[in-house]
Amino acid sequence: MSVVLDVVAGILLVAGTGFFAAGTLGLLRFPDTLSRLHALTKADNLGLGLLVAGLAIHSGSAWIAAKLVLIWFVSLSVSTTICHLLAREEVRE
Amino acid sequence: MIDPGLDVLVGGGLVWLAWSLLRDPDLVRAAMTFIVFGLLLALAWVRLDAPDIALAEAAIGAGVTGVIVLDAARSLPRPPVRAAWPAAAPAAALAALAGVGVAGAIVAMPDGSPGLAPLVASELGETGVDHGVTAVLLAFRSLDTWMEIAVLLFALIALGTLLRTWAPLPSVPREGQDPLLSWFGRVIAPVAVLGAGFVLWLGTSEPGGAFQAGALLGALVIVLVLSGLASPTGLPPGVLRGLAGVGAAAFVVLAVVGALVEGRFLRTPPGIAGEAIVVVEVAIALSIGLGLAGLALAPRRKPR
Amino acid sequence: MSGSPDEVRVYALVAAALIGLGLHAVLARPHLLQKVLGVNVTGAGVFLLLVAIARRNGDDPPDPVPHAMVLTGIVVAVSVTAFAVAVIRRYAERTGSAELPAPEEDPSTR
Repeated sequence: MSVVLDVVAGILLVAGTGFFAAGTLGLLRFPDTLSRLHALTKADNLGLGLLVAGLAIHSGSAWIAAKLVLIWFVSLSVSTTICHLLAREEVRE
Repeated sequence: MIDPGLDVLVGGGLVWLAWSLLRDPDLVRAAMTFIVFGLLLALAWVRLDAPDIALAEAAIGAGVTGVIVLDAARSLPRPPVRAAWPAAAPAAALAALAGVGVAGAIVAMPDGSPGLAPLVASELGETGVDHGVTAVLLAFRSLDTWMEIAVLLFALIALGTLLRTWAPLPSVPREGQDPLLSWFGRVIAPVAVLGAGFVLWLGTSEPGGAFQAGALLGALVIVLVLSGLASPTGLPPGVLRGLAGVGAAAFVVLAVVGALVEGRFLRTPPGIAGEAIVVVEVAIALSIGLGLAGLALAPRRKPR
Repeated sequence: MSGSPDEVRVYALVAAALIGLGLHAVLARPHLLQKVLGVNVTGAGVFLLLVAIARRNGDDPPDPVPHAMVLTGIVVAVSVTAFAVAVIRRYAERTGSAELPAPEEDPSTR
């Protein structure tokens, strides 16, 4: 059973890393600020969610999982707010 | 975890970022690179088994310092920044010599000396806390911590003096400034306060403590002011400065009490040492939080 | 995570490089804010050196005394940075520029 859990956690972690890589690729390759923000925040948020899920499963502790979910929520709020502020500044130019 | 390749990557990244940010003619970009540098440095602290420093670096070293430098980069006049002075070749030589000297000293060091760790471990029982770094900061070397709070206060006072006539940035009006930022400020406030309390309490037995909790509080104050939910001039000026001074005051109390009860300056009576340290840590966290926020927000204060 | 000599040496060498880079920036870069960034980078190098040295216990927990020194140092560094930036702002307000004149142009070095 624990082997299955480890495999699931591993898949989630790798998938999360993949999304982060995709977001960074978007950052480097997209032509302007708004599209870069779009790629970065969407991919990174999903990537972080997958990472948190994988780590929560791997930790095997409900307390640690709860803390990880809280971190994910805070990070989500922060990145949303910052993306909004950056986009607003960009549009004002 | 025993992967030297990762360390080479982190270390190489640090050197590359530093080299890149110091020669960047665009100062705003240099400031942003500096924030990234700070975050990568926090990762290096984790690799070096220093989680307390990692927390503080991310919040204070990258966060607050980054805000200060970024704010300055945007506000200062911006002619094209010139390249390094050509007459500075001796400076480059001196810097290279310093680097080589340090590197040579490192390579020549004998391996594996235990340092002061055994001494700390043996005296830990008397301090009332279980975490080595907290014990060093608040029991063994509490004088250093006291002086550091004093330095923070002096910087704050100096800023108040220097920036007295600085033209204010557009002051943030009431909450209507940006709805998402206001939402964020409202949502994050209880999380930050609870998180700060939790980290402070945790610091007695695990990585954490007053500095990290103070950094969280300071970041919260900065967010609240920037989102318009709190005004830097709203409160009577004495209140904020008084609260910022509470950390230093706590140390004075501790010093005097210690001297009277135990006969030695800054000595905590062993029975209540643990509780006394937590009380002092709360005072320090308040001081550091308000102090850091004051340092970052000072340029925005309206002149008298 | 053991304090293997290789890991410690990597970061200690990185520290040496940062100290050198930061020192050069302080001495040679004309813009005052670049000098402040240089001081911070040098500080980061010194902290790295302290923590790397603290890690030389091998498998034991690291020495907490340098850790406490670095924590104190971070707070002092941010205080110094804030103060330096305030001085720079006043200087820029007075003289209109935040860069020091090049040594050849500086009339005070005649």
